[in-house]
Amino acid sequence: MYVDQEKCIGCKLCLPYCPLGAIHIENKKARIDEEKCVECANCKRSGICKKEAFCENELSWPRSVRSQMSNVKTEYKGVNGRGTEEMKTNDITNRFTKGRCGVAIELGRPGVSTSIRDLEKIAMAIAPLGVEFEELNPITSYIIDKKTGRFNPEILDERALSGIIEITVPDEKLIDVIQTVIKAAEEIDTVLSLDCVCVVDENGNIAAQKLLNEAGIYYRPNCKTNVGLGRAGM
Amino acid sequence: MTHTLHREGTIDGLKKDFVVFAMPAQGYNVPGSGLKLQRFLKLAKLFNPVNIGDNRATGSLAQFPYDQIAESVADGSIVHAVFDNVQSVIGFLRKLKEEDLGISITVSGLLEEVRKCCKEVGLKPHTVNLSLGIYGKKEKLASDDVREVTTMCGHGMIGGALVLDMVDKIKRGRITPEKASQELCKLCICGIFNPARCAELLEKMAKV
Repeated sequence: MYVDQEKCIGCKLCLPYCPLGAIHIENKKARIDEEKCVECANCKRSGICKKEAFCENELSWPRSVRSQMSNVKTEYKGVNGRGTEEMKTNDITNRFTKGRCGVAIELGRPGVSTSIRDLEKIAMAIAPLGVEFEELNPITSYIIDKKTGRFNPEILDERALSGIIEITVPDEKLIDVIQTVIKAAEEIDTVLSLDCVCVVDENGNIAAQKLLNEAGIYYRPNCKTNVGLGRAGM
Repeated sequence: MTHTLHREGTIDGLKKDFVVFAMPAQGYNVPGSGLKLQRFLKLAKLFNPVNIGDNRATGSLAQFPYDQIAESVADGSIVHAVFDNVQSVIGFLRKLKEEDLGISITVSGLLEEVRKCCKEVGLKPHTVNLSLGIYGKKEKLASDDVREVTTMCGHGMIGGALVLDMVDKIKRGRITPEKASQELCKLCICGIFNPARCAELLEKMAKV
């Protein structure tokens, strides 16, 4: 993103609209800090600038990664946003099954942003545990070696509003993976929001809940529940 | 895309915050899903959602009229309806069960409340997504009260600075909490932001 200096009148109204504070005033005009900007286009989409001074650059590789990961209008393999359908269609896809949980690790959320290098740190911490990276997730497409979790080195200095590593693990490895992520989080220069996905058994029990309770790992009282109304075909 | 997960708040606050959404599955039931998703939004209207949205063709209620959002939904989109009370969620789920659209439906909200809703309607939860909280450099986070607002847009389009700017404007009598809430709501194009809850939170912050 950049500000058309001819159009900008320096009114400062746009400053708080950047979720990462990348807009500042220089010589009485708004300017965007290219390093901080993650190309989410929120400034332009907000419509706060009545002079229409916000413009989108045509992004070349590897900066295009920023837009891919941050602009909510970007689509990847049929899904808008930064991840996949994950559990939202699990009553049809059975991506997660009895005995196999999902874990999603979203770096940079909420409201901090992340470097791709930090995403790699987390991926490398969990890869040796035999996790399966979700093939439909855009972040997985940047991992060049799934055994080590190493990313394409060309993009390590890029940034994103957030990036989600999605994996599946057998139930018996769930706590080990979560504890590994929590430990690795001490080594990153951002925050991460952590979650896990689990099917509900025929008695209404959630296996992951029991495992988390036993391990003393906190989870919030609010969650997402797929209520089982989907079916393949119409 | 865990966009509705990780909403922060007190139990009382979260009792006024439920997102019900519908998503077709790629490779299974995308063709023809547009009409089903439109129907989802039309049924939601019966239960007075505080917001709805479709982040592909249009956006949220803060940007477009209800019927325009509902009628513009195309195959393969994901549509949302936000409610500020559990009775509406129960009524809506009952209607969705009766209509049997065949589209996957997810409810984001307090686990125990959603379980009760499912039980009352006769639905068996299929899969659950638990939020395990935040780790890492927490000193970089906005304050707890600000995050109660910002985390209602899971894609992070509402920054902490804008929330504080709105609170400041409310304090100075330049904007009402309701109008400030609508301004923030415009940025969350999926329509999962809860403007009713936001207005309450902003008003509370402005009184401090």
